[in-house]
Amino acid sequence: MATSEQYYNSPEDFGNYQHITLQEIVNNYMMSRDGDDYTAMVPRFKVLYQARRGFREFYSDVVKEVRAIELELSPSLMVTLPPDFVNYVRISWVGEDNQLHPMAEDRRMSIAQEYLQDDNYNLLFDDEGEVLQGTSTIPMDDYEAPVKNGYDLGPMNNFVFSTLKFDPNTDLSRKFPNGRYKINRSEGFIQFGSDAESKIIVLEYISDGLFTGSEGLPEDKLRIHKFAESGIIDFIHYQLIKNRRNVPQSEKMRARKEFYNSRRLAMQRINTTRKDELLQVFKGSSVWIK
Amino acid sequence: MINKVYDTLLTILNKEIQGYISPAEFNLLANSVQLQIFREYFEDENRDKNRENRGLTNKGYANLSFNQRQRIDEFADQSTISHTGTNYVLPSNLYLLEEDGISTPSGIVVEEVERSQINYMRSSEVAPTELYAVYEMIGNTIKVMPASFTNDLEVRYLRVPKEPKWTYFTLPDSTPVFNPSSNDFQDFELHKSEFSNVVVRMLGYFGINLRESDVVQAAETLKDKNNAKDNG
Repeated sequence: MATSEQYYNSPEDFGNYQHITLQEIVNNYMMSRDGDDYTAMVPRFKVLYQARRGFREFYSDVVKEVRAIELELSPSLMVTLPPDFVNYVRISWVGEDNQLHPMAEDRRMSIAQEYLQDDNYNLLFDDEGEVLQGTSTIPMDDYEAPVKNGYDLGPMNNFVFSTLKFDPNTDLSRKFPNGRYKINRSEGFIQFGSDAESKIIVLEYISDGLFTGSEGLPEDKLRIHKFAESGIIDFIHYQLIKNRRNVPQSEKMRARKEFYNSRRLAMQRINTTRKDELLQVFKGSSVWIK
Repeated sequence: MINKVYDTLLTILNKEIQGYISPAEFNLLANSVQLQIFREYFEDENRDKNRENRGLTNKGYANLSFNQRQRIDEFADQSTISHTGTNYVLPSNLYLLEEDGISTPSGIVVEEVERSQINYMRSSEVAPTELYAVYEMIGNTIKVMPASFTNDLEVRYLRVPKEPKWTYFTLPDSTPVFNPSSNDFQDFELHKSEFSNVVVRMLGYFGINLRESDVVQAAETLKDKNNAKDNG
């Protein structure tokens, strides 16, 4: 146990007390089993497998630890997804005022992969029998939202909604005053509209917690909030017994309920609602929406 | 204990002056009986643990599985083995490995994996790593995975019981006299509480050898009584 002085002199330990590692969770589970437990004979690697699944589920569903990266958008208008990317929370660009300007997803942008064809529209194959692929004939930049009624949205950092003329038939979901993007999950990149070129992009995303570096981290470095430990332990137990023939159905149901209950408790404890935060939110409730 | 067993057998069989139990015969059967009793410890331990799980034992001296473990732990041993070639050579006196008894000096357990599961496991999300290394047994060696794992390993195991040997010198009239000072003397390694068990079992063997059905019958009856008491 480190002294306070040692702690304050070890930046890598800051805030570590709130966390528990995946290795500790597995060791605690292995150690706490009794001889007559339903999972007493389960080998460690199966416990580890379920622990990793539980860790993944709790990290993204319960802990919801948002990570963020900041990049300058290159002329290719593409950003490669981070190695530990699972889902995104928000994609924004940074304005001169250092404020984030959330962008919107344009689902009409094409991420189609073009297959090459001959003059008779037959597919072309390489020597190994794979279809030859080209670049899409539909550049992303050609997918501008149709401008209706002569609205000029202007450069996205100068856009102000209040300059629009009133037109109840305008579909504002097709306007992208803060810029637009499309995520290509299979290829692993985000494609941006041309108006975002050379802007600083901030990608806020959720990881599953299991891969946090270029090579991934071993289980003694993967950490999660302590409040999630009971939930992961219950998850491991439930997953290990649910397909076993010699475990009574009542025990399976009990374990399932216990897991969902401990997940709920973990969610409640980790995402604490504080009185001051509620008051801060309520302060905005009297503002008139014009 | 060994001389006491020898004398008791001679007394019971009333063969002292006839010399039908030669020291060589005694030593041969003593080793056999010792191994037999030792092997049964594990079944007894399992039975006692089942009782414990059913709530049929208690703390203190009534803790049967703890008592049984003490008998087994007479043979507990530990040693350090090193990586040689591609495998680790196990200690030569190994009888059984402890479950999860192989670890690095820093306490990272190297787990045994059934050979039928290794191939799937190696290509799964929980493939062996330095932190979660596994091994398979190949003869008297273990192969540890991943292949990059070459740390020294601490092995906790039960060793093979040493062969009991009743050593002696002979008087001019060829009577063997017990000599515990001999270099190759070896007493029984079983717990002292096993004295009557050893005698009864050896009695059975000698009875069979001597073709004396009364002795065999008596020995079997005593053994059955002991078993019934243990299982009661």
